[in-house]
Amino acid sequence: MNVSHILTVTKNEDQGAGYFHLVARAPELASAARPGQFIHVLCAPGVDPFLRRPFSFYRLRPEAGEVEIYYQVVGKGTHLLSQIQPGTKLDALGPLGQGFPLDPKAQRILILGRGIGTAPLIALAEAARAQGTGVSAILSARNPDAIIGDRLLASWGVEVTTVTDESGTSDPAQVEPLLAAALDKPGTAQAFVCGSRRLARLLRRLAAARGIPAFGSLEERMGCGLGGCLVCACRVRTPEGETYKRVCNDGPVFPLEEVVLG
Amino acid sequence: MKPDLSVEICGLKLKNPVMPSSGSFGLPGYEEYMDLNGLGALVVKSITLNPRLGNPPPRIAETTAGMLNAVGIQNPGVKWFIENDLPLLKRFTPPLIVSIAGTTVEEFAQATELLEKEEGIAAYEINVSCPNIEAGGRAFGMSAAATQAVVAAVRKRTRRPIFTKLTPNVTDIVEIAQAAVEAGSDGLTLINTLLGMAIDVKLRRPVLANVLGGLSGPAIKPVALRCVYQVAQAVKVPIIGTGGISSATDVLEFLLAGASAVQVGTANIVDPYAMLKIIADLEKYLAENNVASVREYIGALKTH
Ligand SMILES: Cc1cc2nc3c(=O)[nH]c(=O)nc-3n(C[C@H](O)[C@H](O)[C@H](O)COP(=O)(O)OP(=O)(O)OC[C@H]3O[C@@H](n4cnc5c(N)ncnc54)[C@H](O)[C@@H]3O)c2cc1C
Ligand SMILES: Cc1cc2nc3c(=O)[nH]c(=O)nc-3n(C[C@H](O)[C@H](O)[C@H](O)COP(=O)(O)O)c2cc1C
Ligand code: FES
Repeated sequence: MNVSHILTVTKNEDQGAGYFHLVARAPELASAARPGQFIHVLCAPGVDPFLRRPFSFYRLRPEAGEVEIYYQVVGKGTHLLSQIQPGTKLDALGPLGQGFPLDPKAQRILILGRGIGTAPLIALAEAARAQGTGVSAILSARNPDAIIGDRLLASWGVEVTTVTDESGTSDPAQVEPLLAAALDKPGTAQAFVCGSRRLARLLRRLAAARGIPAFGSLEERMGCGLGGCLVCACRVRTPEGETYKRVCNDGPVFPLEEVVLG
Repeated sequence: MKPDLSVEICGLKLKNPVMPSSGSFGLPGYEEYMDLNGLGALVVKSITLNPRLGNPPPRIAETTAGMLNAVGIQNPGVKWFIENDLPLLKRFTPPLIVSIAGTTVEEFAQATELLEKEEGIAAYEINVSCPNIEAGGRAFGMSAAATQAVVAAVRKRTRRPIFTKLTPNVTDIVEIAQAAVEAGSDGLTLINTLLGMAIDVKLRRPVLANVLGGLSGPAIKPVALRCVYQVAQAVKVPIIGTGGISSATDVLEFLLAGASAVQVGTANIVDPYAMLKIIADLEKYLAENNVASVREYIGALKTH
């Protein structure tokens, strides 16, 4: 499979709180991609920045031939990306990685996102909804402006609970009862987390106690994005002992019970 | 007429002079994304006698026109390689070059012995850039004597061609090259990465968990060219040039400096299709300039 694509940006808008929403035309990519997978983007032509930047799919719209990402400006690459005008071509590799293993028969799933980490969970929630699976959402961020996807989820009829640092509600100790209640909702078959190692540890513990399979989408600095350079190491437990897996190719989604969340 | 891209190096017939450098290209793995049979040769990630976990992350740092890596030769060990990877890699037509690394001379020797029992391996590349634990962790390739000891140990166990891959982190690379050739190396690959580091000012910490890492990419091309040129002046064996190659003209520069073939590393990390593009561009360049064979460039540098 050819994983090299030229995307045409159709929208790249400032969403406030340092976030941008980018929509691009890429029909092949849109049909091939699954929630939890990502694209590896050259943010500008030339050698500066030198490496690609990974971004998860925020929404996949094969019927429109479009993919969407939601990103936070944090450094050189994302700053350059935020300057791109509609009509610009973007060089991207994708779809890369293993997506979320959404159970087609799940009655309900739980998503737990923090900050920009909620982005891939939106694509997952949309896919869940399309197959008739219910979604419960707990979203965390510094302040209400930094919560993403809450309105979209609400428009889909998803019950969203938000917690923030500003209101003093986002501490794991305070999230614990909310998360426990959400997991205990009848039919909850799987749980997914992204954007916080602390929340991932919390989910791992609560989900394990209930026998609910839980998965996290992880981040690590990447080179190739295709499994070839071994720089994106993630420590995992296996029956033979601890080892490193590749976030780009073995992940970015891993069963939480497998990963060492340092 | 179609220009001839083929080269021959230590008896290996390559349909073009471009191959991946060890550790930068998933072998096996990338057959999923492209036709590997278009490449001049296949070079695998360095294999050690025993499995190696590698370094903790972060293992990569972006630099100006390049990158630092500190993977730490993560690999599943030679037995696993033979059982799992080799059968897949044997199916491709380009000659297969297996890179061997080790932390003692004995490890190189034992890994070679195990690989010698297998078919489908065209040559070995000896990665002497790893720390020699019998010399306080100094890389083998930083000492002529240690390089010689490793090459001699492998030489004793194989008749397959050996390419010793030299590190640029030395005072005089020519001295090390000569030592490798004297010990029986049929060819040389140069260069491996340059030792470097990156610092995060906000955190006041090194970017790499390993603190130090190997610099690669376009930033190191002038150093690599210089090394190839100096060594080509001093030894008669064929050289595979590597370091910062990302275009067809880069390839020709290395051939002019004295290389007979080249390896592409970091360019693959930015674009997995880089080598296929370089090979197509090379053919186009030669055709446009009425050059019949790429071999015309090898060592053809005019210095006055
Ligand atoms: C699988 C995956 C999916 C991601 N999805 C999203 C997303 O949907 N939205 C979003 O805003 N961000 C996402 N990220 C994080 C995003 O890749 C980084 O924010 C981005 O690379 C930063 O680049 P920069 O040049 O702006 O920052 P700089 O700090 O200048 O980057 C320097 C280097 O560090 C790397 N780097 C910095 N932060 C991260 C990070 N958090 N993860 C991995 N590499 C990093 C960069 O790629 C670059 O190589 C994802 C990361 C991964 C691994
Ligand atoms: C991520 C990474 C991993 C590497 N692993 C190895 C290795 O296992 N063995 C080896 O001999 N060289 C290794 N190298 C060095 C390359 O093969 C090559 O010699 C070097 O990067 C210079 O070439 P380049 O600038 O084209 O990358 C590695 C380089 C990178 C970037
Ligand atoms: S980024 Fe190269 S293996 Fe994951």
